[in-house]
Amino acid sequence: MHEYPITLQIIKIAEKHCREAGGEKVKKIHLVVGDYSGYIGDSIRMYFDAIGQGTLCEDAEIQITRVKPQLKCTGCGQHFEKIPMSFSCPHCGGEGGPSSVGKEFYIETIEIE
Amino acid sequence: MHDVRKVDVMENILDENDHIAEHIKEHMRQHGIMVINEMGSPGAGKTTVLKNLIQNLNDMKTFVIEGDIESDIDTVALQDLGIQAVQINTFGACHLDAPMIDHTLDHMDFGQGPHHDHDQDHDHHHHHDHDHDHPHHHDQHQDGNHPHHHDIQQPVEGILYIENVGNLVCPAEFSIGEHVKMLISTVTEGSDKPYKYPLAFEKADVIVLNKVDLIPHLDFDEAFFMKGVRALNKEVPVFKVSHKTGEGYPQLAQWIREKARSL
Repeated sequence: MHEYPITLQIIKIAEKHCREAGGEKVKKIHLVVGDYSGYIGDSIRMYFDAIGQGTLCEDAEIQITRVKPQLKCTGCGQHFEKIPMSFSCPHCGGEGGPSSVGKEFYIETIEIE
Repeated sequence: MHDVRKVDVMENILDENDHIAEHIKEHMRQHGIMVINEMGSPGAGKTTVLKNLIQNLNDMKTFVIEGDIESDIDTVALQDLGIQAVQINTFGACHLDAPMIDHTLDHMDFGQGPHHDHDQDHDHHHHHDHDHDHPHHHDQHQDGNHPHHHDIQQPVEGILYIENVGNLVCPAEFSIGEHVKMLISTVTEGSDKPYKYPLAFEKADVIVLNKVDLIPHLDFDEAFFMKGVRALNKEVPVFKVSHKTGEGYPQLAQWIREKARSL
């Protein structure tokens, strides 16, 4: 449900950059969406098809790079993927702490014409 | 013939929200008000914690923004206690965001702070007749002239509580102009919540563990809960409270006071 206002925001940002670069139409938007960002790529695509109509982003292709969340081990310093109900590091058994990997939510590039 | 070309954007989608949130935070600080974003599941006890805090901090000015999908039940109850409370109904959105708060603040009256407004012909000598304590940085002023905008901030004498929509997922992701993110967890929702909803626990500046009077009737594993909390957030203070017994509130109120003083 909250992908709706966020999709509006994506269109706004893409349109702004398109205009600034002298383009007339956005053909493709490349998003990076981490699994811990709180947003679901498929939901964004779903809203986009509807909301994009009548904007510079109409019918633009949405490409999403997903990032799986990782914890960082407070012991050995390595990053690892978390398993449910545990924060343990698979490398050394130490305790993992939060990292920024998996929280990404940005527009990397757009393609315009 | 149109060429298709790639344009670098590298812009966080929440930048605009975060920019508005920073503005709210600074603006409220200038008014001498600390903003607390209160989050937690539906039924965790957010409104009850709020009422207890307001009672324990009754020397501070209190303002409340209530966020719910629908209804104004909590707002009316707070207003009946004489508190300036305003309702935001999102009619579907699962969290509050900075633009919603910004818009709501326009309709609220925070009163004049202890510092007068600055007029152009205001007399800037160094004779402050303020009767409250505040750090007075004389070395910043030279020759009796000093920047028109006061570097000296008002002490924090008020709190704006923003009770977010009941939700352990989405509110953690959105800055709404708060100085403090307060998470209300409860012994009745199970000890596994830090493992299942990591972002809420990670981002909290203070955690309130509510309804502790019910522990004898439950299988709440406090050690397991705290292990999860500490893995995500090494420093966060956790206050165990109960509305029934009143325990924990004086300590939580003290923490809030100290936080307000340190802003």
